[in-house]
Amino acid sequence: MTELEALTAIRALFPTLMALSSLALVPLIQLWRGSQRDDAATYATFGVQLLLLITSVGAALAGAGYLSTLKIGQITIDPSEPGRLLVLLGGIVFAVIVGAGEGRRAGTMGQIALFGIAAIDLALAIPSGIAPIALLLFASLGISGAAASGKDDVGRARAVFRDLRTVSLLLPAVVIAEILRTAISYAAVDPSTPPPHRSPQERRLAFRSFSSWLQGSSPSTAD
Amino acid sequence: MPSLELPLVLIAILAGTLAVTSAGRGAWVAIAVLALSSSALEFSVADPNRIGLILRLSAIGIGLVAALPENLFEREALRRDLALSTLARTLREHPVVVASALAGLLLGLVPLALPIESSSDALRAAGIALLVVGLPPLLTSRFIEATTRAAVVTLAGTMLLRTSIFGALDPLTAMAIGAGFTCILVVGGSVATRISNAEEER
Repeated sequence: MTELEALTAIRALFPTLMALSSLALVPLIQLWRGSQRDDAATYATFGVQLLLLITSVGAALAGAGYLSTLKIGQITIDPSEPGRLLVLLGGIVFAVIVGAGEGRRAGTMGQIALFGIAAIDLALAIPSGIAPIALLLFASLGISGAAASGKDDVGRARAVFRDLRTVSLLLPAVVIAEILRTAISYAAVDPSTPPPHRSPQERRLAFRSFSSWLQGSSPSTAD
Repeated sequence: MPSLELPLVLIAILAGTLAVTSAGRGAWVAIAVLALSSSALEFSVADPNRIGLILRLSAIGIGLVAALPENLFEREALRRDLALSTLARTLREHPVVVASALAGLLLGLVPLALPIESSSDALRAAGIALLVVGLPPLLTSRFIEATTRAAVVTLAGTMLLRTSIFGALDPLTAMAIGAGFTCILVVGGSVATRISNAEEER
């Protein structure tokens, strides 16, 4: 990987990289503060707030131009303007919310915000297909599982179980919708839309025959 | 690969049926077999670009390692639970699921009544059979481990049905779906452990 490619990858995946770095930062702070649990939680909250603000500023600087478009073989990650705007605003807003929050789990909530923002940015950066939907659905399941972890609360665990069932049902529904959408063309429901499977040559021929009909002569099929 | 397609389809359907009807070791081994066979069907082994297959297998492998219950690999218990007589008895005890799997297989072999240009019969049959087997327990089961396994069976069936019409997934989508398999197994395993611990304490 060249220097330019590495820089593009950092630009394209900046919110994701920040969210992943929080996975190392919080345990490092806990290791540093040792037995002082309240102190470690306060420092972890500060650390996560800082990461949220860095994510916000970094996403604004990286932007959504061609310099931030990552291409690895067939994979293209093209950050979108709405995604980057959401990261910019979301980073600041969640940094304030985490700062206002109290307790040992404020840092965890900040991490969840980091991963949520990163998942939305990444989903909006994937051009099309089922990948962005799958990413959002499974990220929501993972985030709700992480939010309920570390607590022996049966009610929360059952809520995550319901989320698991819902997500597992939604993805087949999306795939079946995708199949039906491909099978039923827009032309079937909207007369103003041309049939999607017509090749450019067929369209040109249809246009020529229509023009010829207007002029009162037969169309040529030479090209 | 086409010569292997039919055996793989039958193995995937049998593994999916056992994954939702068995308990404990038999079900987890069936899930692993289902993962291997459905991935091999979805991403052609003959394809030189095997990144999708590698991603899927590694994702399910990580998920299974995280979700597998303790003491799964006790040799004697494993031999007893995976004996042919035990598996046959399990299938005999759940005639509705077996009938659903067969009905799904036959239903899948009938061409879709949709204006879709091409669709692989074997993959479509496997996909519909796994959907028919996986969806009812996913909707109705009260047991978390069984629901997790039903979710994996349903997702595998959905992906096979999609592949039968649109072809194999691109690497990015394969990565997202692989992460989904891991997520379902890890979250399901963690929730099951937490609830069983809480119930034991009570």
